[in-house]
Amino acid sequence: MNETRRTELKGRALTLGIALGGAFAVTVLLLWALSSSFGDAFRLFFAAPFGNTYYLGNMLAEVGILVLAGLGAGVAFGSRNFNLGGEGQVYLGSVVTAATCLALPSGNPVLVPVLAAIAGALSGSLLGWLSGQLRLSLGVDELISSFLVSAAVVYFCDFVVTGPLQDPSSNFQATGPIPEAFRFARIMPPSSLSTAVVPVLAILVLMAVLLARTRFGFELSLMGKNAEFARYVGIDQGFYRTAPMALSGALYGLAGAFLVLGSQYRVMKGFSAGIGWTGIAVALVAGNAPLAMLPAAFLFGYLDAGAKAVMVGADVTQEIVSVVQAAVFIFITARFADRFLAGRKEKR
Amino acid sequence: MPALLMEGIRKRYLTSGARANDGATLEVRDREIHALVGENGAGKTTLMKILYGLERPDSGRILLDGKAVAIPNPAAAALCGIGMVSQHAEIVGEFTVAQNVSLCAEPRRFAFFYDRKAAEREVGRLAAENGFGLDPRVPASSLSAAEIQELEILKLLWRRASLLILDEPTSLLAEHEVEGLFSSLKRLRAAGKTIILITHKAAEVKRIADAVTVMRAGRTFIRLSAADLAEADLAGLMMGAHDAVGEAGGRPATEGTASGSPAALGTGVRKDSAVAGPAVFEMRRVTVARQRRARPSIDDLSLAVRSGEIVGVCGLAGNGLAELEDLAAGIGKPTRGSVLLSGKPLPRRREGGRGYVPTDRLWRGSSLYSSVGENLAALDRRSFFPRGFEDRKAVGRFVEESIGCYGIAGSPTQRLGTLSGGNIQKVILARELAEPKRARLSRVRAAAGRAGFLHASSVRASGTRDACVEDQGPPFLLFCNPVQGLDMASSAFVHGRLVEERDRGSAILLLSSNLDEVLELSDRIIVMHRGAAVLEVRNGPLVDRSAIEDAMLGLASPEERR
Repeated sequence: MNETRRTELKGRALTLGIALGGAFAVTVLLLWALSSSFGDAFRLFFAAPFGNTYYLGNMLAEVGILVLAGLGAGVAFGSRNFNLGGEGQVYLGSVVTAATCLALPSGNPVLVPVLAAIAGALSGSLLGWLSGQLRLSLGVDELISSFLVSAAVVYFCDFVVTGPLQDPSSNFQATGPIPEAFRFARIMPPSSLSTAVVPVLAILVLMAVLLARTRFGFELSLMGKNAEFARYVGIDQGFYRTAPMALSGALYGLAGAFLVLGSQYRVMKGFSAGIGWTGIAVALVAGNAPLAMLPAAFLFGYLDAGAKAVMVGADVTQEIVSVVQAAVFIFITARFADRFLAGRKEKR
Repeated sequence: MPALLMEGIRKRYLTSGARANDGATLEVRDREIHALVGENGAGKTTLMKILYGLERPDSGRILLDGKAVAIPNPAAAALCGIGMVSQHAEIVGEFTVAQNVSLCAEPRRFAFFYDRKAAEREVGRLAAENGFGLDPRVPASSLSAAEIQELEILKLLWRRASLLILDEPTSLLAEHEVEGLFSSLKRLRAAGKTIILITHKAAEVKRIADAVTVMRAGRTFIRLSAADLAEADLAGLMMGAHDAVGEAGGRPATEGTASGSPAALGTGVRKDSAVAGPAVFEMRRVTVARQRRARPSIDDLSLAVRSGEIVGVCGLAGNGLAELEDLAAGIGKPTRGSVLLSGKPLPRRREGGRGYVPTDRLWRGSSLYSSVGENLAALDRRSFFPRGFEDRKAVGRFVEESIGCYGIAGSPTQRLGTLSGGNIQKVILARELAEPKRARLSRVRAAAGRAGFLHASSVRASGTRDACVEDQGPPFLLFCNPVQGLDMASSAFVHGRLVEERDRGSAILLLSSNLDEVLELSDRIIVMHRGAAVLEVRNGPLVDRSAIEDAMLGLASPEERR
């Protein structure tokens, strides 16, 4: 390994370390300021996610969903396409998946979930592709269009969930449950962790191979690093405006699909809110590298689980997790590490 | 007493670990034009960046008029009366000349409002005093390379700099423009300014400098007054042809290392006359229109390049060369007319069959944040990703081969952006001149089959070992300003490869704003002026250089002039 690479890796590790340290400090500060008994809140936040199978299982289930969302954000970012429509794509993916399952209640128990997941992925993919195509044919910034389209789609999904698909026997604003035959089996009851983690990990490995070992992945990364160079060596610009956006949308859609098939078994109004944005945070922490999505997703899953535990067990609201996430965001993007390393060099 | 003395300057770049300056010393006297010469990477620019406060030295000291000064940043340099024009123009295209010159030091009205009239008046006066014909009211984007150079100098004078540093000021200028720049510099010297000129063109030093400092490998190699130095010696000193440092005080007379006629590039490439074959690349009555009333950027241009010949197109900046480059690369579209490769319309996306060395080698020609290996493998993706998956062995072999054959100073995993300009150009050449691996394999197989010994092992062996010699380049090659900003050793290498490819039968279109380069390499010369081909001549020893220069300037054709 040469010196350049080593310096780069060192910089990234340090960035991550500073972000984690900063997030930890912010969390401690907030808990101290907001809770009446700091000791209890501290213990709940940091220990509870590992405290019992319920918390642990729920956390791991969320990590799986965040891995998919992170992959979705990362594949777009890696090619310099900006998909900010994750929120709508996850939600639509879950609604389409649930609708497919509910429409074929007596279908083949293997075929229908597969079909439903593919339909969910396709629906998300369609949204992503639309923004890519708008950029290509009309010059509409995909960053703006994906965000706006997604914002509208969220309301459309709300309507579908509380209207045509509303479960009349439920007091919640939610669809009816999907048939048991279509569900991934629970691994750690009563938590929502299920065998859905197996296909999620398979998708993770597939994406890692796709990006690191194939022509598609190579061309995609060249587009991301320098689009003018990519055009110069004859890479199809149009394809790499639309395909990564579609793939990104598909992964987001899959996140929604597995949320239904693996964790919740139904769609509740707004139940996926935040997954799209957290996916971006995951991709940011992972530096778009597929295999790094797993630890990055774990970080955010852990923060979320800790916040939930604190909310239930102590007098701190769940919003604390948004603040901590924001702190991680800022620390990661501010590139303190680069400056720190540079400063140390000057002194030497 | 020298006006400027830099002593024992050391600077090591931490990212690359390279010692850019390793005990450099520079002594510049008051009111002299001092040339700082050396190859790429000799440390000239670093030394000047230290003087201008852009870099901090690890050790060493700077004395101005005998007093030690600290220059931590360009603002401090400006206070000391030091100004620098960097290699690449730093102007705001949308701003007028007056705005650019007065930027951050504007005349104010009521101490707050920008006083446009005063700025234009004062800038105009300053320009006139120094013999610059700049109109302060025109936008900077409409200026020629020479006028931009004047603008940059004016910026320094506006800030009352008395020590001017110019980094490679002539690299983008045509011959007559260099003349103009040099007479301005002489005028500035007469007005009491001290000038440091960074260059690697030995010929220019003789014409202008009062004293020369030669740098090599980060050290000051020798300081001489220009009159003492025969030109061949200077080139030799820069190139390191005489390795005994001790004898540098004398004047070792080695002939022909890399010298040339004073005006020539002096890369010393020689070639036999061409044996031209059928036309490979053709442009038929091509026009590229711009907005409605502006004249077209390419105006009814026709040209053909045959296999085995180099067609050199030269012209001054802004006369259609850039647009011609995009057209021939398939990136730009003609408004009218057709561009043909082997008789068929030129495909917009490249899929083998043509190599292209672009003018903009840092942004278009390379992916600076990718590794050397990725840059090399970026073009021939069909061979390196059979059925969509990477053939790591083939890529590794090709990358090793390229690094070996082209003498690229870098490792396959190193980020390309950390390489020097000359090495980046070598990476581009290695990629663009390579024969697609699949094509090579089938050709080698066919040859082996004809010879009657078809063994897989022998095919593979001949595919790797003799790759440097065996490769058959693409049938059409587009070279655009291939040696701009390169030192002599790299330039000679690039020109050598260019002629080699021609001799193997490639059709080569060379676009260059450097007339010497075109004269040295071309079999035919086309001169562009205002988007049109105004002159086409066969190159040879008797070619009329001044007629070409006149054509580049758009002066009437020789017959009419008389």
